[in-house]
Amino acid sequence: MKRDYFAARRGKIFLAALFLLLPLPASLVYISHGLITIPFGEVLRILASGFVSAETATTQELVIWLIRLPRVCAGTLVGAGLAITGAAYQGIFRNRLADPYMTGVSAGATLGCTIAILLGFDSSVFGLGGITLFSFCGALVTSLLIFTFIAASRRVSHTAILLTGISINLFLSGLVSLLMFLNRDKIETIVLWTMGSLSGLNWQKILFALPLLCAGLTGLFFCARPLDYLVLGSDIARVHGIAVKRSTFLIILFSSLVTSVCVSLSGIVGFVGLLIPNIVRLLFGSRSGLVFAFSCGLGALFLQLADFLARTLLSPAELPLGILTSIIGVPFFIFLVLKKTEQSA
Amino acid sequence: MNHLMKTFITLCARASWLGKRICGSKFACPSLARARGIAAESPQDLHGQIRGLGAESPVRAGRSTARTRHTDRKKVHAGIPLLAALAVLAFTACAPGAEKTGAESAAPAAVELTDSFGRTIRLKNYPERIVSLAPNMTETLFLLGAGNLIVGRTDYCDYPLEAAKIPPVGSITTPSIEHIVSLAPDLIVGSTHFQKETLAALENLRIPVYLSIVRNDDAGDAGDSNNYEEIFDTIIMLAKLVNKTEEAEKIVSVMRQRKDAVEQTVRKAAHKPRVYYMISFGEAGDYTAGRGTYISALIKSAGGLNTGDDIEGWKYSAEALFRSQPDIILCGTSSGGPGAGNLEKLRSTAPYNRLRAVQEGRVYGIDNNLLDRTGPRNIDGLEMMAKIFHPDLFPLEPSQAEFFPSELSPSELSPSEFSP
Repeated sequence: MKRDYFAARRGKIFLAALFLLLPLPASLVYISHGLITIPFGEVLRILASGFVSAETATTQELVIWLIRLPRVCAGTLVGAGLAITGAAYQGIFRNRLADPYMTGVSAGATLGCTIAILLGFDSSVFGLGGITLFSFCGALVTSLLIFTFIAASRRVSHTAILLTGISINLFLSGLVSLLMFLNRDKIETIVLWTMGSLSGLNWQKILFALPLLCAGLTGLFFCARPLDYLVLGSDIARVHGIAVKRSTFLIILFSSLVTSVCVSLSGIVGFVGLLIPNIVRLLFGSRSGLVFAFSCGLGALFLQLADFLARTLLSPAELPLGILTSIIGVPFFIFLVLKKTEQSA
Repeated sequence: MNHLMKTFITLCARASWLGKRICGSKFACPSLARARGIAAESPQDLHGQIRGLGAESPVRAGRSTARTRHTDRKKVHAGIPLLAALAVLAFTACAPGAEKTGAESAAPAAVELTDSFGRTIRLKNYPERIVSLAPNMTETLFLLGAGNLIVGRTDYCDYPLEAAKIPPVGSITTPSIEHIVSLAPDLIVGSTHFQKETLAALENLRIPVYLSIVRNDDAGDAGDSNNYEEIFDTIIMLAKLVNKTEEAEKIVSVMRQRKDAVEQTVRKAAHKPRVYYMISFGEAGDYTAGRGTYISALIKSAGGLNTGDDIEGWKYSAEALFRSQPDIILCGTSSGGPGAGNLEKLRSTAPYNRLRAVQEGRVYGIDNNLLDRTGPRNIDGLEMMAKIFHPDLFPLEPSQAEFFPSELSPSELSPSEFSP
């Protein structure tokens, strides 16, 4: 019996590892397709030979190295990041409807970005740092705010948590709109954050985001065990020797970091954080470590696909990414809400 | 009789509601709003304007609200010319102005004419207090010598400099009706981006509204697009309203001469460069003037081939830009607006700095108001483009030479030569 359990668990871990690797071959498909279709062999050759100088590079090399590869990389990072933070928020809020978008944390990050841009930070390394820092502060303050509200009232219904999140989301979006209205001449750079897109990406941004995102993701993976107990309630967690306050704070900190980096890369992309962890739970159970791993892989695959559709459906024109994730996400969200109400009734 | 009237009013209301449904919600294109860097009040109407009602591309308009942004992402971009045509029809059908003004036909009118939407405007006296809800109309009125009649303008009417002294009444899409009323105007003129809601409010207040737009059309490769005649008509019709017909004739004949001169000179060109008109790029999204836009027609008659012609509408992509590798990039740099500094930004932003045109220094800044606003200054824009596309055919004056090839400064290059 015990052997079976461990065998099943090993199987799942193996599967999770596979899922974590899947985005790699998938990205090859996305890199080779688009306005110009480049055969696989050619793609591999171009990737292997590295980027030559722009003077001698062919159109294919330029398109791969400067446009598609950064986009696919960013899609992978943002998808993985949003999905794992969704899983983390759902854990600490003990609510399967929580995600960075619904709880208003994304909006907090956007507000931070907006303020940073209005203060004059740009796309230089220093500017990117400023934008990410502000975005991080916005995300952290928002999530602490919501968490404090939930901690303050002893028994809060799911509805109350969601309503709080949604109203904070609207409040912060309102602030962003106000700032945009008051600074109409600088608005151009800000609209992106609120629409969600991977089209304005370059290597500088990705290389800046990569270490921060990796740090956040690693941190969250280390918090997976405490999170498993926290889901059961703080009393039970304490009995099992978990430092409740510290763990909770760390999870919020790492989640805010990941959310803010994602927002500063791609703007607000809704529903990835909600959709992916819930699918994963339905398919592979609720152990946090596994949920995190599966979410990373599936989230990356999902956003890669969404961005691929965004840039090819109306080619040569481009769709905003948020449109596609929402079209796929909203029906699922409604289905989930209906199922929830059915269970509680 | 009373009963008939009631039925008629109900029918009008229905038609108007239907019209709104058709014009308004079919077109979701946040693009243009973003293209100009200024989010419009509601993205769909912007698109409706541009595809359906107007040609004047991205004039800055309005502001964005949290709600519109959330609805945007649920709407799908649909750019079908047929629907655009429907939108125009619906608009015409639901504008009740024609009937209303027709009913008051007893007194002799000083001026009577039909606007771009088939609405009849009858004025008993020539207007003395005009509110202009479009930058191009403000420019034209000033050029006609009727600038002193303008008592209100939009926030975006920044040309000529005298316009800044007139009190602003808000944005193009959401002007303050209260402010307009307080100015007691006897005529309101509007153009692209003018909203049906504004029209309804103003008609309720019995203030005459004259709307004038240039429609996008696709002249094909044959050249001779109708856009120029429409641009000229705009000026002549507006002149009729303010009793400046003679001035308008002079202005238009000078414009025609200048346009013909450019087209004739350009005909000698051995090679037509492929040109990309860059409304915005990078984080703000890639936007250009696509096939059938009148900006595309301007590029054509300046002796260029518009690379944007492979799309309809305005949304482009970096990948398509790398595929077409245009010979020349025209970068919109309206002074003071979000476009200022675009040229520098373009040269330092990846991947755009790897484009052949950027690497080889064939990026030219152009004040996009010269192209975006349909009006007299379009000819300035045309001449500037022709000079950029065919430097060999247009000998430079020494004072201009230093601005070539890539530091072209619009203000230095556009002397307005058509004062009558």
